[in-house]
Amino acid sequence: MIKKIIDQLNASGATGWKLTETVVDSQEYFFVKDKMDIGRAKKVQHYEATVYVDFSEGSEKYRGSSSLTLSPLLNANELEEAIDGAVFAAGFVKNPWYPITEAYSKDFPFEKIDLKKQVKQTLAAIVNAQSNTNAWVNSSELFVSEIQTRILNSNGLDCSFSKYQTYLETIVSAAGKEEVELYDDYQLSVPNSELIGNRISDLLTMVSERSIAQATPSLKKIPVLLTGEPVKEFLRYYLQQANAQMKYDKISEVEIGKSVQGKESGDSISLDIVSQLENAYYGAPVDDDGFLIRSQRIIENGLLKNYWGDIRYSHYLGVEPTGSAENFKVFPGKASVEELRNQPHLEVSHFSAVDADMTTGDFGGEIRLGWVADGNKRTPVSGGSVTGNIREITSIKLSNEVHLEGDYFGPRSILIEGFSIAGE
Amino acid sequence: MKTGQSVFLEAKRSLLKELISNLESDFPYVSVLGTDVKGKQYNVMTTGVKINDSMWSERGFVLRLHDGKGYFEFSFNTIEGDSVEELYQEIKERAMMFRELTKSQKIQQVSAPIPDEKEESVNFEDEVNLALDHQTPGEIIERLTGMKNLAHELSDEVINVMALMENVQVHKLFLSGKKELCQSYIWSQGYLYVLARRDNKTKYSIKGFSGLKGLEILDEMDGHINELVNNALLLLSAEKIEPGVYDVICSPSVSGLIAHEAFGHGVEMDMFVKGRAKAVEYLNKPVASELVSMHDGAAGVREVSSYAFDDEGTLASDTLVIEKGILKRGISDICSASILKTQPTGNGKRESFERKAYARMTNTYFSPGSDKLEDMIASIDYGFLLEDYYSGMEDPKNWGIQCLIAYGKEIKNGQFTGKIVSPVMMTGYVPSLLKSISMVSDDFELSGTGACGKGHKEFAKVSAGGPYIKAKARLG
Repeated sequence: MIKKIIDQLNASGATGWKLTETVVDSQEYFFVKDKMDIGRAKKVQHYEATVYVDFSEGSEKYRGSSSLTLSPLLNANELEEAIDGAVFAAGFVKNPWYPITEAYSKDFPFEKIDLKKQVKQTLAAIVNAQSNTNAWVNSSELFVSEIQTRILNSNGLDCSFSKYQTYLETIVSAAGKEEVELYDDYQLSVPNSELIGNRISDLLTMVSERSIAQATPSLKKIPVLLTGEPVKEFLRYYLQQANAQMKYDKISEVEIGKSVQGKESGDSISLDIVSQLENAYYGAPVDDDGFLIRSQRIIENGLLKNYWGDIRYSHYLGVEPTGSAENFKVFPGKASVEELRNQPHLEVSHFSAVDADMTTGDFGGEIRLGWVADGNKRTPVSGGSVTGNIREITSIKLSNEVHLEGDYFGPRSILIEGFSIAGE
Repeated sequence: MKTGQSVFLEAKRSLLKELISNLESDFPYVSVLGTDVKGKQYNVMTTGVKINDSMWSERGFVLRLHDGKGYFEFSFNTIEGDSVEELYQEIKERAMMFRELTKSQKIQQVSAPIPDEKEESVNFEDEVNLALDHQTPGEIIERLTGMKNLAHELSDEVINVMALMENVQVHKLFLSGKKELCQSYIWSQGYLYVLARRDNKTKYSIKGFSGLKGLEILDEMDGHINELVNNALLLLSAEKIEPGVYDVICSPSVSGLIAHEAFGHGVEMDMFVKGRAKAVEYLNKPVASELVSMHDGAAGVREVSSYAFDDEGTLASDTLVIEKGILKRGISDICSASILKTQPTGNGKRESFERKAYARMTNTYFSPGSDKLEDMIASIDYGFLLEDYYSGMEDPKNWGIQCLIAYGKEIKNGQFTGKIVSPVMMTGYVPSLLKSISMVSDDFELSGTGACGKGHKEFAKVSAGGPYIKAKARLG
């Protein structure tokens, strides 16, 4: 199929093109408690093409483009019609000219694992995690995929790489005054039964806490300690402010050499983009354009050092492209989590969903599990909400303990002052 | 104009029937869903233009079989030549490997009965006013560009604008031993987005348009830019809300969000099977004020999740979930209905042919009442009219609500004061909110932009809406 598509792209009259082939082979297991609800498997191929059409008006050069999804089940006529249609449409897209990735050829090394064995061990870890005092795994879904990707373009680029992706969704429940639950999704590269067993064990402990939680009281503006997944979403705001497209689209206002933080006291943020993190779900040696991703310092001590982004938007900003990295790393702070807890605060580990608005800086969520601490006593709470604006916080402290969470490696907890808490 | 059937799916029909027939010699139940979905998205921003295929575009198959113990599915999008023999062998091998693996790990199977299907045949073709090729890509981009330019002309504080339209033509074919169903329909959606900045404050307003429509959706988008620009400028002067419990009037879009997030997810009956739904304890009991009736269904209304049959081959229906405040029933896919011994309601939906079917909402809404909006506003001593939303999140087990609402208009002594609060987080306990509903307007609006997830994945098209409702809610 790939040859047919390339032949058609070359014959289409487009100035240039890019083509991505993805082959996915996955196995999926859906549990209700410790019983199998349904099993699934998937073997699919995807082709995503972009055609480029260049034109000029006076001395200005423009590059139109149109992207299309091509099924391997298209016949020759359908393929020709789809590509010709995209070339025609691209002629109406008037964007400033930008380059596409230069030619190189590389098949990135890939370490194969005994997937069957690892899946077996992971299934055992899920089933064996079923009992724990008053808490249990209500249901879970395990997706394990092997993905091969090849990216080519009309400049002569031809690169390929493979990766594993493991996704586990777990719902844990606990009995109490009324039954409660917590939701979790855990993303890894290879299915690691030990990490998954530990994750479920931690979740069971936390849902037990929720089963004895009281309603979140009405609190004045005490500090909020975010722990776990909400930390990633809070810190992603700074990552996104430094993105080349966000800057070009005028959503971000940050400038090189200037602070990305507000007037808050406490820790300064240092942040890197990284192509790959060990055993992370996300990550590839190249981005969607086939551009080699450079791991790079983006924010240093709270100041913007570099924008990061793909070849197009970096060109528009007149900066060196880094590639559109999928992972980011934030440097730890000085205090331990325990030290951050040494003052009255509300700690939140689970929101219904974390809403962090990359445009306005608005942040908030309904509290599923948190703890109100007065410095001596720590009481689990649930309900109510935390809201605020990241640009208006008055203090931030990062923990020195770090962890991997999806596409993020960095502090496990952050202590923030300046958020509002709504409770009963 | 008729939407037309898929030539591709028709061409594969006999091969798929042969595949089903071959597998039926090994397995007691086999079905196939074939999808052929084509869509285009046109996006004009101040900073650039894009024309892409819709993310909903796909062509492929999912085969479902029951091996006597339980279900197994295989998703694929290649068929070598005109023979299904290779595919037949691969599916059989994968199903047996799955069963061997669960056996070796001593994993028991959820007992789901083999489907007992009736003979059914459907050939459904919908209609739209304007075909998708009624205008060229250039003409479409020109119209969207006109909307973008107008926003900039209206205010220097507007710094970026997006005018986006997406059209998706859906074709599906469902085949099993007893069913032969095919359908074709077109849905479209549009967004207008205006980003405004004053000093260091940035705010945006957004409005969606949707329906079982063709290019006529562009006509609906025309004429709304003024409203969007005014809203964005208004938000620049918005204040923060003082956390507390208030009298509120929810606009139809916010009512829809409550119907969908606060209640709809909790009556998806796969949640009943898992013991994740608090709704089970409340069947035939009051959960809302007597003024509240709530529906979900792919039949009955025309929006983006209206269809003739679902992704498991169950015909669409209209389910009355809450009747005058009493919870009557949930919505289900085939698997959960068979385990719970209820009738499937035509709510078995997949994100794509590559994903599992779950019990999912379709078009979910509160029925209109008899109150007038102006009377509702006049009845409030102090409170807010809540308009538009950014997001929401379900909590089927504990009936918590999280709705992130775009803004609230302050009401004092029955009149708007001109003060705006933004954003507004609505939280609380679902029955408390629904039981507090004291007035329901005679308006009715549905909206189906965006996508709904189950947990944090499995995105599917849905719509939600209803009338204006007056209630008491905790805002923060």
